[in-house]
Amino acid sequence: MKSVVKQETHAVNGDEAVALAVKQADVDVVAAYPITPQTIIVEKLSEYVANHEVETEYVCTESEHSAMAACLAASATEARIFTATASAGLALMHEMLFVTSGCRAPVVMAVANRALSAPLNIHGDHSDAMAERDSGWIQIYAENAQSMTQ
Amino acid sequence: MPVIVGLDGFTLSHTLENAQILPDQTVRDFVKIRQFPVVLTPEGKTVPFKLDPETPMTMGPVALPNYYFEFKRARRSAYENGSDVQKSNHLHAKI
Repeated sequence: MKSVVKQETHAVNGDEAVALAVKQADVDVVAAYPITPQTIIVEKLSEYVANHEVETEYVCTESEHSAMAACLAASATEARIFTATASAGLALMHEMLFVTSGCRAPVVMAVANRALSAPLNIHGDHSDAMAERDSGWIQIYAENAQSMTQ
Repeated sequence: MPVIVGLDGFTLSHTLENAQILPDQTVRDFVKIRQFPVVLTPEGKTVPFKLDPETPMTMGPVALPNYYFEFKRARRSAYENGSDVQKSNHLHAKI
């Protein structure tokens, strides 16, 4: 029988839960560009990196297109990769998503699903991820903060 | 294979909840070190599918229509086989 592991209860929002999961998963490279409502994820991750709580290389890119290009390139080596985006950021990544799945690079990306403009709207909507249906990426949807930590 | 994990903007991303967190080491032991599928080189050697100066390889090369959809079909098969590979915890996925 497997031993029982004691879990700690943390009060976290969804973004913090994702950042915590990434921290625990020993990710080697994070290349990202901040965008609402995903910003807290990369903020927390950059905090972990600055505090030397993780051995992750944090790459600030000039756009989401570059972020995914960096993730793909790093993933082609031995690195474990994470990035996060939302809405227009995911739309800007569109081209690189096909390249990443075509190269079968196991990049993990959190998408804080948000409406696409216009009209400009920062709130929840799945139009961003649905637009990437045919990009060859697996899509998983989290139900709550708990499922994001897993 | 790449994965998008979707969380509803603000509804989930900015809502405070309680979450049960595993110890760091338990998660580390679960994810282990990254494993690679193996591919066959033209010389007949099996090598891990990654960029390495010792065994150079091209990723994402040009494919004309005669091969393009074979490539896409192979990717779909890889997804279908993925769950079996996961179940058997097999290190060398057929790609």
